[in-house]
Amino acid sequence: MNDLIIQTKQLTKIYGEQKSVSNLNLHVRKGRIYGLLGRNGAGKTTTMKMLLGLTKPTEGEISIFGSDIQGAEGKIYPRIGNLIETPGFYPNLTGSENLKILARLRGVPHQNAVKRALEVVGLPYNDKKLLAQYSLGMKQRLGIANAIMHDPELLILDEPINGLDPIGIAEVREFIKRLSVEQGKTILISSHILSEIALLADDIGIIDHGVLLEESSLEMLEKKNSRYVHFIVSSAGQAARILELDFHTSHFHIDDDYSLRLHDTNIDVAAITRKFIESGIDVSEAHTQNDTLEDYFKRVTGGEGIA
Amino acid sequence: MKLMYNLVTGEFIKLKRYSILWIGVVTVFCSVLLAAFQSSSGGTGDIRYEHLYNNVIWNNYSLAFPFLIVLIGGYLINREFTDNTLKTVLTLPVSFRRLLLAKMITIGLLTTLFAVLSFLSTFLLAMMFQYKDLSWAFIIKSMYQIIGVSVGNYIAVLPIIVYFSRKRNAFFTGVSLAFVYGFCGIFVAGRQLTDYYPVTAALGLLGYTGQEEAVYQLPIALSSLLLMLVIAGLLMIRVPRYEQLTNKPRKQRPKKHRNRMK
Repeated sequence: MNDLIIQTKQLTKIYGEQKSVSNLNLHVRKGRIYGLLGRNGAGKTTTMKMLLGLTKPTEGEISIFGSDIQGAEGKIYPRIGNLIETPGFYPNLTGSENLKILARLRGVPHQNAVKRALEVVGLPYNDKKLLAQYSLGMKQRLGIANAIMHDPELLILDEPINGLDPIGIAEVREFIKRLSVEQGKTILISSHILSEIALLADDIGIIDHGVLLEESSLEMLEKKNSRYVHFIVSSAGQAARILELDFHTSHFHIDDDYSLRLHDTNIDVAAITRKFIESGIDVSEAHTQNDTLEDYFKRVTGGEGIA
Repeated sequence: MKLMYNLVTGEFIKLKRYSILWIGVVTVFCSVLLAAFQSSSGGTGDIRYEHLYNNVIWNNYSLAFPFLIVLIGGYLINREFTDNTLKTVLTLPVSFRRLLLAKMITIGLLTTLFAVLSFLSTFLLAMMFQYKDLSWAFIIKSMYQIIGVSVGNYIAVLPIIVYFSRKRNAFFTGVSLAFVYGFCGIFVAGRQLTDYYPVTAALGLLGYTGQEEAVYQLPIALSSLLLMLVIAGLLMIRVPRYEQLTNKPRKQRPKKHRNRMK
């Protein structure tokens, strides 16, 4: 596909005997927000570091803007803005002074690029406050300002909402969305917070133990989430026998003595309920439900959900 | 070229509010004051400017400058590790090699500034106390000798700075080494080894007259300093990658043996 901004093939990183990232095939499309979702230590930061040349892959290929990054770093990296882990700045300087140094090194042509970037993230320009006095949230905002200052085509943001207060999170979310929708920027964002990814991303990659378990658009994922009928009855075992004998289905799951989930949604719920009651089973609840994204994440990773 | 200019000016901006620069200023003044005491300690009352500036040069290379240059240079590089700014700079992208080169140039310029300060304080001290032989010839000679020997010291310690720039906090070892390296110059100077020893090599090149009966071999002195530049250059060519630079050594805890008390 020609609209791929980032593509990795069998990307692998091994530290000692530990496989941090394993055969990762990532596809980030132009103008989309790609959410890399995974628990802490799943391999998100290592993947991003490999994309930015901070870590050398053990195996595999990385292509950004359609070019292999090997040997083309000088052309590719100026087109990328990034924020990896906690942003690093000089504590003896103010936020503006920090950005001015980085703007010089980047060769940012616009005189007021620093001022504009600070305005976007809600930080004052030429403030006298030194970076050492900044809160984590302010440093995070400054990190984002640094990432966008040179108007890059691609943003790689590693957990950008870390340390932000709820209002700050909402502001950054809106701002990232605006960058994508209004300016057509491609954004790769990682998070361990599922709800954030669900609110932001167009495409989602689920990574666990260094393996990309799923890669799909949010729309497709929501479609994939299975529908089921949830019954709360006086005897889930008896109800299960009725489903097998009278309705010829075994596509159900018994949660406990009273709870049963029927995944075969083609059968008429009214008929089942009537049959349960006729057989002396009390039915307290019967309703159709969809798996949440968290349920899906649990199912895919085979473990506990995430926030 | 423009990037290097921006990198070096950036390094000077980074120095803003760094208190370590005051250590440099104090060290320079201490070296001059010590030289003044040394010059007047003979008790003959014959206090001469030539003695004073020769003592300043002696103190600068044996006590102050090698230690000071590695301390400030190492600190400037180490801050990139401790402030976690290396990844920010590398992804601009600016290579670690370029960054290191910019820092070396900055340290060279700072050394020159400290040397100018050393000369000015020596000169002002001589003016204040009205040294007898304070002539233009001596003033100019003291200026280029103080600055020149300091630049020679900078070249002599370059490999130490570059070598110890590869790991977080490694520069502390470099500072200790540089102090011993400079101090050993006292024993080398005047023993026909002055030109071979990089810290003292510049003495001969600049015609230092503080040593009695010293015979300098300029090609050897020049080769000694050139060798230091080559070693520093080779070390810079082989700088490690970011992940090797920032890898913190994992301390392995000794396994506890459970000896149950019976």
